[in-house]
Amino acid sequence: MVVEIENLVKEFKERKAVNNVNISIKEGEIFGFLGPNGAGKTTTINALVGLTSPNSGSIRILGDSTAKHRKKVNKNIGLVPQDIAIFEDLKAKENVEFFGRLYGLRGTELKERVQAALEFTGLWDRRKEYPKKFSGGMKRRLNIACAIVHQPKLIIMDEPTVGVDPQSRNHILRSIVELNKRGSTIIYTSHYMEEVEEVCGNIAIMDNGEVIAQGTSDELKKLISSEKRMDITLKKVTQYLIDELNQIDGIKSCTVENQIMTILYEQKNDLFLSLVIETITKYNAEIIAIDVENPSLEDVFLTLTGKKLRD
Amino acid sequence: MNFFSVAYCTLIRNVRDKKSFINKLLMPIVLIVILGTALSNVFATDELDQTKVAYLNTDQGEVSQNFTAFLDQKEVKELLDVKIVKSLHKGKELVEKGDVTSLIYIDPTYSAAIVENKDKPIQVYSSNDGDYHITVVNNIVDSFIQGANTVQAVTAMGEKTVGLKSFDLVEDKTITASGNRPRAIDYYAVTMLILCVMYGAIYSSESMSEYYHGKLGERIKISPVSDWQLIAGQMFGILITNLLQITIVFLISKLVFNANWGSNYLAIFGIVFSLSFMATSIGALVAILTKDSMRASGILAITIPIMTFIAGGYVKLDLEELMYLSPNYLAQTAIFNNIYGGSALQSQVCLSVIWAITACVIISAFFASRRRFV
Repeated sequence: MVVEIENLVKEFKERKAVNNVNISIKEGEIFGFLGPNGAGKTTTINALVGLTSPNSGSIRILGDSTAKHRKKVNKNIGLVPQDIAIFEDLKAKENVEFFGRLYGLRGTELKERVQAALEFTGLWDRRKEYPKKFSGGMKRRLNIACAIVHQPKLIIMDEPTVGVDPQSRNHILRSIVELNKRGSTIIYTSHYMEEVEEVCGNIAIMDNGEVIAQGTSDELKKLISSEKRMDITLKKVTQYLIDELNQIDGIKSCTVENQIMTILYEQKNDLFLSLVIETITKYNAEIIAIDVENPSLEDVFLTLTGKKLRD
Repeated sequence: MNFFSVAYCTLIRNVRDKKSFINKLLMPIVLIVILGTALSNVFATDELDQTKVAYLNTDQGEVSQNFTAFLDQKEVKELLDVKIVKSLHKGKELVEKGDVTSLIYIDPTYSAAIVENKDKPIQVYSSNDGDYHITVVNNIVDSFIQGANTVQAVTAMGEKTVGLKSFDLVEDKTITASGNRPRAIDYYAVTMLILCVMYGAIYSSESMSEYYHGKLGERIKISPVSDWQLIAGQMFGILITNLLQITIVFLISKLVFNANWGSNYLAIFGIVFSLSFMATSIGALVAILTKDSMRASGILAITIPIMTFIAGGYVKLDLEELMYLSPNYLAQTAIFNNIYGGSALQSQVCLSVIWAITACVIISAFFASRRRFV
């Protein structure tokens, strides 16, 4: 195991930010941390890298206890923080060099690793420029370059795609897969489920400081496998309509956002769909489009927590 | 070694921040010009004009002849304009008219009395409104008498007469026109250089805050760099930045304003280096304790000018013991003693206090830094 977290607890005053978390991450995995803001993802990561001391529990990384061998453990970790943490007044290359030196790289090895990190993130041609001239996406990529220059065995990416353009986002997602192919184990936190679903093998869903579900994307979906999801775009929606739909046998939840009604349901008979459409027609809601889908991670989260991931 | 990486990074970032670098450089230079010009009168040394005296020697003995020769020396002539009169009456008349400040009169028995070791003064008649000129005359006459007594004592012990050339009392006094006292520009060159050194504390607090707090600080914290390498590396980088600025201020004050820095530049550098080290340490401690860059800079931006004021950096003050609370005063005292030949012991005490404070601050900063993440 690359990471073994056992019974981790972190309290801030009277609030438990992380409550009895147990996670195991195998070598070569891309492990996804899913959860809304305040779920406890960043606190767990801070405990992993030593930025916060847990109240109880233990963390082992690559077999070493973080409590006893912090410096040794951290040599093998590359953290891509959620907020961009680079020197605006150092050139791109100087930034990567600085962090490379902190991790003990010197001479030719340093030069080669710096070039490799900048080429990997597509910034080698801009290496002599100051980050203040970079776009948000380029800064995010430099943020990654600084974390991978020492070729760590474990890379932790805390929401690395927040606020970036689609081009940089795709570049970052491809980079994650590529880094994994090169041998790094990756912990990836996000509240973008489609990203997590795209790149991660195992996923832990956190809410209120606890891991409420853990497994592969398919395993998580099986938790609600008997359920399906239907998105109906309507011209007008009333509360009476929602109330009546909720009374139909088989409907688990019915929510509306921007004229799109999302129904999670368990189909118990062949007349179910007809009954739903009949009810909507009765209220003159005027159906514009209907889309029936298999459950997504969003649905899993919604079912497990009763709230949307971005809440 | 990470120490050098951190130091190099800190140095080039400080130097590249041209706006801040030039501001911290320009302020003391501008203050040297403004204060050195505006307050030059406060530091002006009044030159002594010649004091007019009448002189009547009615004695033919050797001692009185020596006194006449004494009055004829170049150094005495700079201070006294001697007019020989032929009678006591004429001399007193000149004094009463105010044509001369004093009449120096030696009666016929003077030399004989001195040789016989009898008490016999050189008589000085002065007007009532002669102000400091009377003091000048009395001091010069006293100088001769003290010298003569010394010669007599040496002779009595069996040595050869050393003669009047041993009378160099007047020459040594700092009240001469070329006396060794600081002008305003000399004074403010020192105090503003000290102010510049103390502003190193703000550099230090800004840098430490960035490295210890916020996201960049967290990123550095999780790297394998040790606390001592991080602190020492930054302090070294800031120290070099500070010394670079100080050198520029020093050279401008010396070459452009012709400020007096004495001749022992190595000692001056040692004092300035010590203070710079202390200022850097204080900045680090404030940053680590406040955990907030803005608050740390604010505290130092208020404290440093107050310390400079207490030390008499802006306007010469005498706040007695209170002045010793200011690090500026300690360094100033050591530098002024060095330039103007003051007490070496006092300089050493001041330097020792600076290093003692520095040691306490560094130890506190180290322990505070270890407790910053809980």
